[in-house]
Amino acid sequence: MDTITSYLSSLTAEHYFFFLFAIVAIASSLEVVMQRSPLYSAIALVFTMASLAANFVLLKAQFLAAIQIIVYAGAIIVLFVFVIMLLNVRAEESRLDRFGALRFIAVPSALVLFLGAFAAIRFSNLDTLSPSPASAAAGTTERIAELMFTKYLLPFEAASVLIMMAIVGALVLASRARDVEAEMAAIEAPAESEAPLPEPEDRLEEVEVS
Amino acid sequence: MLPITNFILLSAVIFSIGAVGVFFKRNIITILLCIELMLNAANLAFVAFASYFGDSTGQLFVFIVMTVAAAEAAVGLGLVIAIFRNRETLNVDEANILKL
Repeated sequence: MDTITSYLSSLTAEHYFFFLFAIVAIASSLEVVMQRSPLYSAIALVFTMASLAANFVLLKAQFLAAIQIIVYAGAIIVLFVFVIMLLNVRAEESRLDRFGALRFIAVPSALVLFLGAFAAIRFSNLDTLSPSPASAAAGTTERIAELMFTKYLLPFEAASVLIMMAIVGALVLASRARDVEAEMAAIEAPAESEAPLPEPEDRLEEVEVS
Repeated sequence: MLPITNFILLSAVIFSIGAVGVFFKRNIITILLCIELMLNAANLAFVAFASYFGDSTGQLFVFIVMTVAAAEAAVGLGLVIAIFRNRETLNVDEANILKL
């Protein structure tokens, strides 16, 4: 009992906020997987993103917390929701889960994955790592911008080229495929039934000039 | 700040949940959402280590990862629309034309 009370009194506000947001993050990411409708999964993912942004604030990465909300919750998830609603999938069509052997492999293999990560964390000396004094300023917009436009200018430009390629690729993939054969046939044999154009003099109209 | 193990463990948990989703789900949109979940877990580990070492490089690369995630979402959803237009289904098991 004494150890519990001494443990509880040693907790700071930071601990409470971390536990709160960690529980929200884990619960909502479980919900992403458990929900059968993709729309509800997308909504649950917004909660995961928001609680991860709160964790970024606890880690003194304020710029990334803002970007996480704007880019992920504001842009990417909205894109997903747009596509889900655009496709207008029938209810039974959207509720698909695996019923084969993979269903029984999925959870054990993920457990093995997690236990491997857990063992790696436990047996490393991560606990001895204490925050460096520079960490308070590491997450400011100024520091990140300074690095982005000096030392890491090339990855930044490469990312912009990647976005450009993604835009073109998404347009090509999502636009309706043209019916090339029908277009070729139309070019080779113009439709006979079309009425010929009227003679030029018939098209002229007399107007009175005052 | 809290010990870094807290954040890394949270990252491992979320990554594993995302991996279960990719294994378990057949709806292609949900699989893309679970991939986003895994990318976010990786981002959390990046930010944790960057903060503890006091080095902004890790945070810069989270920014790059977000860019890649946006590109992946755009192209992935373009593929979803193309598949749905041709097959009238979102089931990944039915998109098997390349299967031997």
